[in-house]
Amino acid sequence: MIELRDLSVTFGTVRAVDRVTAGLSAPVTGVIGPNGAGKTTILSAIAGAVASSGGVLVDGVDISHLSAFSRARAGIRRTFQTDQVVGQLSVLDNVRVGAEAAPRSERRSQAARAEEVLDLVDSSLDPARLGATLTNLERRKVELARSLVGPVTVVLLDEPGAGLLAHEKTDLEEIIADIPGCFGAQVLLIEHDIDLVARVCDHTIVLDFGRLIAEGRPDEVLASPAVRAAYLGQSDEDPGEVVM
Amino acid sequence: MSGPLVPLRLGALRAAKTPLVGIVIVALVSMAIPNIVSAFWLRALLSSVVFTLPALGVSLLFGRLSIASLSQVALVAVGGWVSLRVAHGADLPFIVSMLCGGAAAAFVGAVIGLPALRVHGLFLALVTLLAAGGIEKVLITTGFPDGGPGFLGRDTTGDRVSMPRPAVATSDAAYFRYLVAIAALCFAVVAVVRLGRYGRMWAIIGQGEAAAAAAGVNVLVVRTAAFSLAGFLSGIAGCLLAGTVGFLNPASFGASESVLLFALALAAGTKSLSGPVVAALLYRAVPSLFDQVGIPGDVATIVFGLLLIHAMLGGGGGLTGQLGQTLGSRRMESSPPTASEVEDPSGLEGAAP
Repeated sequence: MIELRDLSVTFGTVRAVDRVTAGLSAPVTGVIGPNGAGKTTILSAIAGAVASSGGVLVDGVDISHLSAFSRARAGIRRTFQTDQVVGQLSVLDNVRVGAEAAPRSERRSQAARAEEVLDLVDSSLDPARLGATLTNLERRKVELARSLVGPVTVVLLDEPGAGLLAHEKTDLEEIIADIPGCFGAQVLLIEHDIDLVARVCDHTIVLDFGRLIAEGRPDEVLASPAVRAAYLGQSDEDPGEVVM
Repeated sequence: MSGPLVPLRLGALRAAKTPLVGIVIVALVSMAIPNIVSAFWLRALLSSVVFTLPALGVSLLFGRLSIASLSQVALVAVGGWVSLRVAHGADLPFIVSMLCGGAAAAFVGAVIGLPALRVHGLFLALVTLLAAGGIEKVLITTGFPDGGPGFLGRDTTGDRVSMPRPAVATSDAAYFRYLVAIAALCFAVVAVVRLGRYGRMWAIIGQGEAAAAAAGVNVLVVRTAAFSLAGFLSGIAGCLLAGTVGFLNPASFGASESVLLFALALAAGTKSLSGPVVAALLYRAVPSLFDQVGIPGDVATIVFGLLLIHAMLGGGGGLTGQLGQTLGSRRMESSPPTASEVEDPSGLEGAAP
């Protein structure tokens, strides 16, 4: 369960996240909103990558005071909008890095578990292949696998489907949907593909200008006039046609 | 996951082959060179072997962590000063003086690296350059110990004492083999570290600090440790240089020397372990070559500038990277590369100077 209490992030004079309060307990929660709504910033604030005010609680424990790497060690894991696969490392080594989030006594066993996690994400990926030789989808999978090695309580996925073809997104979608069941972790998913969000997410929050403007089941949220206005500036479009 | 086992085994075989090749090359070089080159060239090569170590530090920091350190030659001076002080003051074995010099330079390197928590890129490079300038000024004031009394160990009577070499390597030929062995050991340690947990953490920090932190990496600790290791290598080099020359002169350790070594490390290539070897040869052997054929020393700087431009235009892989691409292009046509193949495309991984 992730609780955000008056969470705010300010860059200079711009308030990128504005007093967001929410309790997120669904296995997969979608974070949607138009460009510049503060989606990535709120994920970064939860991960501790940007300075924020207010509170972030995970399973009732306040993690607001923790640095980014300490939050990772507390099980708050993330992927990035631009994948962070290291080209000069092998696939397996790219995944093994995630074991750094484990306690010192468990790092060796978690590093050994990297191959198992990689197998769960994509059993056809050659662990010895170099990161630089991977396709876009493979890179996304490797980064996702890295975030699942070590302690995992919450996985923050920042547009994992960006740049992927439709059939590749379907492949990734199945992996994302399996994370809560296989790893016992909650997923927060930023995604511009509304259809994907509707299929994968159990709950959705909508941001606009850094504020939480709606939350609920994806179909309910997409029917909300406030959400349609935020995306399209009008309220008579079919939500399924929303393109972001 | 039974599929990847065969490629993994093949990769392990290839990975095991390259250090063996390196060991054979090191052994041949150290045995043969003193017998085939003149005394002039042996002195030039002694100095070149010494400077493979600070070049390795530059390569580690820039090639792995994307940190531009412009203080590695200054750290050679720090290691040299402490080694001379320990050798003259305590009359300890050469290897102990060397380790003391390495430890001191590792400490100073870590202190220089601490601002890396807040400062990045060009600004961090400037911090390291200013540190090099500071060390230069201190050394000009204090000078290097040469057997005199007091803490500074400066002799004013004209009765200077040179740094004693190890008992097993008093001649230039034996000292050359000694240097090659020490440098090979340092390269082997760095190669092993690069392949392990710290190597992975360095690589992801080089990719992006946010990504490293998200993976649970304590970026401050790992970066500081890398600065320390690079400093340690430079400190070891300081002692080895003192043993080569007998005395050290502050004028040889100006901040501009650190900048030049950094530029040459880039020109040679920072991704492979063969890059620092080439960088050190450019730094010390090429000026000697120019000197011997009567070309003014300044011309070397112009040549180095052109080499750097050429290396950068070639994609930033440096001379060794370009050589590796040329040699590796045929292999890539038949099968996609694995990590062990591309880590050092020149095939000289593990080959110490």
